[in-house]
Amino acid sequence: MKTSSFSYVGKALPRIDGVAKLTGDAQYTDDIHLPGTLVGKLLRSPHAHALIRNIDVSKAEALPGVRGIVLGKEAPICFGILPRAEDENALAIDKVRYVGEPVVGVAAVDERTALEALKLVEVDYELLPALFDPYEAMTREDVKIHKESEVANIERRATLEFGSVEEGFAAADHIREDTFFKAAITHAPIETHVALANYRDGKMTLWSTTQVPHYVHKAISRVLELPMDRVRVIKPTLGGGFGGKGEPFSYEFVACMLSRKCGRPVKIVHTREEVFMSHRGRHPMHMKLRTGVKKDGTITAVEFQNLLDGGSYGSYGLVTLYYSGQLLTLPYILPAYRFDGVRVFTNKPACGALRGHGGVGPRFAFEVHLDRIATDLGIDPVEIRQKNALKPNTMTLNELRITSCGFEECLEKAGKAIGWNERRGKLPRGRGVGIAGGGYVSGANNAIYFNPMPHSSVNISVDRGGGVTVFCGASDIGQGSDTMLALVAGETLGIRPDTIKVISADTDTTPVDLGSYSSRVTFMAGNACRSAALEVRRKIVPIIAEKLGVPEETVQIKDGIASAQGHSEKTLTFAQAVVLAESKGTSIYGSGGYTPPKLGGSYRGAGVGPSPAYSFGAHAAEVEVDEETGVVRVLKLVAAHDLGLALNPLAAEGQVEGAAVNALGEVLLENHDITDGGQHACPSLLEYKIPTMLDVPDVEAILVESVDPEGPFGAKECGEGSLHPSIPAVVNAIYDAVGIWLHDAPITPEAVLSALKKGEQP
Amino acid sequence: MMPLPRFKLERPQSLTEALQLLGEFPDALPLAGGTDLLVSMKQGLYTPGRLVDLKGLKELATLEINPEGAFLGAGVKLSTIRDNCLIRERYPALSEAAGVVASPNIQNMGTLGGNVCLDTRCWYFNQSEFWRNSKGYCLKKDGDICRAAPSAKRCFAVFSSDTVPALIALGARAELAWWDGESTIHREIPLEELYREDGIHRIALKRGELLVGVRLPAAHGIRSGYLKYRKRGAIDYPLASVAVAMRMKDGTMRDVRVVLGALASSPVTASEAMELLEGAQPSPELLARVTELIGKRTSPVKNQAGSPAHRKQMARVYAQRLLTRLTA
Repeated sequence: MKTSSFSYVGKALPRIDGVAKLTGDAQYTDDIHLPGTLVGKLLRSPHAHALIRNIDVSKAEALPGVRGIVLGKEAPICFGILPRAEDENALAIDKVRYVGEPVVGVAAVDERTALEALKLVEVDYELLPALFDPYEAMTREDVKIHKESEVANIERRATLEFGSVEEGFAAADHIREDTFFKAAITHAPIETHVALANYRDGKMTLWSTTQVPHYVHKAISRVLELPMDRVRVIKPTLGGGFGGKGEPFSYEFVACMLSRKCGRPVKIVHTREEVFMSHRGRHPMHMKLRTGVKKDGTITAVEFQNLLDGGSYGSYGLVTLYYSGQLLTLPYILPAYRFDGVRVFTNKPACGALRGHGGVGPRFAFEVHLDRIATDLGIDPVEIRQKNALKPNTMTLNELRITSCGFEECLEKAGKAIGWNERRGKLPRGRGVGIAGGGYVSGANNAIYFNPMPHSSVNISVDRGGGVTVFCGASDIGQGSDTMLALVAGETLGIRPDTIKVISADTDTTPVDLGSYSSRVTFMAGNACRSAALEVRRKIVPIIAEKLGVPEETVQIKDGIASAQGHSEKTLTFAQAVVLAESKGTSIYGSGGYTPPKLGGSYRGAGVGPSPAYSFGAHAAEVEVDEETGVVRVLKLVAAHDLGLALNPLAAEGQVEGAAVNALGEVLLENHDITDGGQHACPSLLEYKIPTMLDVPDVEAILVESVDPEGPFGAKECGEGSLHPSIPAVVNAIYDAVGIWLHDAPITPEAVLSALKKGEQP
Repeated sequence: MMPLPRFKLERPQSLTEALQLLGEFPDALPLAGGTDLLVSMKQGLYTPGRLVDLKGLKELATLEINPEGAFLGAGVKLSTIRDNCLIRERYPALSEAAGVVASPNIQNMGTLGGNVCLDTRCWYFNQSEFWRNSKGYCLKKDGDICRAAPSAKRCFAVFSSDTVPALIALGARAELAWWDGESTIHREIPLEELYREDGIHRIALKRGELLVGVRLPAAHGIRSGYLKYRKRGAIDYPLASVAVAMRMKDGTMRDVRVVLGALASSPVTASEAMELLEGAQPSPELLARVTELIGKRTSPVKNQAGSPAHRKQMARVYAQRLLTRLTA
């Protein structure tokens, strides 16, 4: 399919909720006001690791204005986003595992009263030794954060081996070993987490800032012991997620528990500090890479060890662990590969999924490692990447099926845009350019819990006025999935996308979509939407053909007007066609779903990594390093991203630019650090340094279109994979600028100065 | 949400009325732009019974710049200080300093007086009640030890104003006023005398005393500038800063003033460096020697982002750059 043959696809479409957001009209969760709503607050643990001996709420209960208090023992059923790691309670019952863990929920008539009540709750803690260092946690048998851990505080060890690693190393002309550390970052969405629960007539309605209404629906039903049909989860307009709202959270259960107890709506709004403590962001990763290469740069074997500091709970961590190993086989051909990874519990806020989930740390490490190998061998960094580049329609050695792959085109275009050939190694000292590659999933092939159902479903109804409404569980978290659905439906039906209504992410009215994570929505909900729209088309075309007196296959619809090829004088509006259909006794609707093909190997861990399609990318950075201050300034960032096909280039460029900027913060500024007492080191947007406009350089997004055979109109992922390569591209550019290699991110001015002092170690 | 603690808002119509309120109520605090105080109040760091709103008091809004000098009212917005063309021309250090406070939005709200009287800051202090309770309270609020320097007897919170080093370098004097029960008493002191090397008792204002404005001497031939080291391009307090003012006469440096910010609990006048520069001809060798002396008597502790040694080093680098620029 060629872009030019589309009516709307491939053209810039402003988002359908854009005006509402700009004018302040959009309804975010905290904008919803129900009469009689109580304010809910969570009492959080000041201790990083302690047993709860007793909780006395009598004084708090006696405070005028307090309407209800809930404790963990009232909801003892555990939850967790992964069925293999259901290790959390709505509120801590007998133990707290990090500073900020919710212990008691209070509902009161206003915020001050609720906060006052928290102060009156007396919790008797017995302090336990707290573990903050993952290396220590790995071996401390005497301190168990979770008693279920078999070895010390190791949640899981994952090993993978493909091909003959020993032979690969034996065949190598050069072997290089490096260690890397990548600190945690957190999501920092502009909207903090909010839940509004209303229990009425035996039915719970929860409005929540969630990326995953379906998983929250299931979890609320389970923990509150309400049948699923008695629970409704609605995601209103959402102000950013980035993975930080991608699983059920304590506050959602507590709002529901309090509402059920008080018989009144209860709203819980997180402060910024509470968002930092809730976290679920990037895992700190301690990484070791060993790679063998031929003289010409051909990779012969790779060995990767990764220690993930998981924090206090499971969250998405097992998936992070496997992703970190599995996705290293993109975007280069590895003939032999061994992975040994460990996820360890520590007494810190739990780590989970964040934009680029699992692959970001390893990608940073591998791309810098690869540049070092190229430097060792005297090969150009672009050339070594081209030499090993993954090809379309192949299988990686860990059995990831590669269909479309525009990696080489990305490399070429990113290199060209940064002026690679003219500038690499040729700029004055202090200035440099660097490049790096990457690849990412377009949705996970396997649902989080095993089930045979479609990953995404869409219903489309058509009203008598010719209006089209798309119903889908997909969660627009600001990435623009509602607009994507309107576009796909519009293109398929021949209706202008901006006239299409989208009702999404409401478990009562919309069919299930698994949620906004793993970059799955455009691919999966897009395909489901296309299939639903095709059903509508199949129903309406015969009616049009009959009315116009032309063969069905000649019917075409554009901008809501149907005509027949070669008979431009014969037209019928889409609305007239709908009325005709209804007069024949059937209202027009369509329904479709998307289930990924069966993919992946059968080895342990094979379930994580397979995806119906992979995005690829190459980013190039130009930096300026101030050798007196150690300050690194990124002057230009080029992000060439293979997204299959740009359904909406305006939105796609925004995603790619946003991801690249996200990465800039990650490589130069952000560090979700925890103090030696377990407190967050910088729990505010003043001290946690996300980039400001002044820190953001010129970002050039280049959309590479490899046209995926299975994506909707050829589209694949674009919002997450476009983060990965920016980080190593900057690090590699620093080497070009001043000849130092930095293996710890974020890169601080102190680290640059100290590396300059030492020469080019480590 | 973090609610503000309850307080009574007083809205005086004149400076006299404001001073009377501040004099009468020991639990009252003056409120100017509120960009710093309201955040601290939400964090439970201050719980004043009353806030005396200074907004709109015309006595604080004066902005007078003439050949003899300037008087800048405490209520003048930082964005006005930043943009005023006479200030940019005659007192560039001040204009530059105002332009790097936080962000343009905050410069539109924040006042010169607020920045001159800015509270000292510390990683252990500028946190929520929850955080401080979890970590342990500190000397500056509710605790009995300095968490940044546990063996010390005093508070090491950091002087964080951007405009003050520039103003001191430019020779500013502070005009203060208080109500003695019968009338308004004014006094004027060199601005540097307003500060104390103590993170808690940081400012030498009497109870009920208010900064009315700052007076600058004539700017004839003065060259000045301000540089601030921070982590990102905006919305950051200084990690180290330097202001320089001087005249050049017959190829030599005269009336040199070098003032450092964010390395101690008060602004630091780099007197050794000044002595070496005074009357000398600028040369790269001299500037390198001078730089060595920058921050000599400061000993920052680990209570901000960035290591103390690095902050000090940055003050040196920035001083050298600024001196190079101004003597060029």
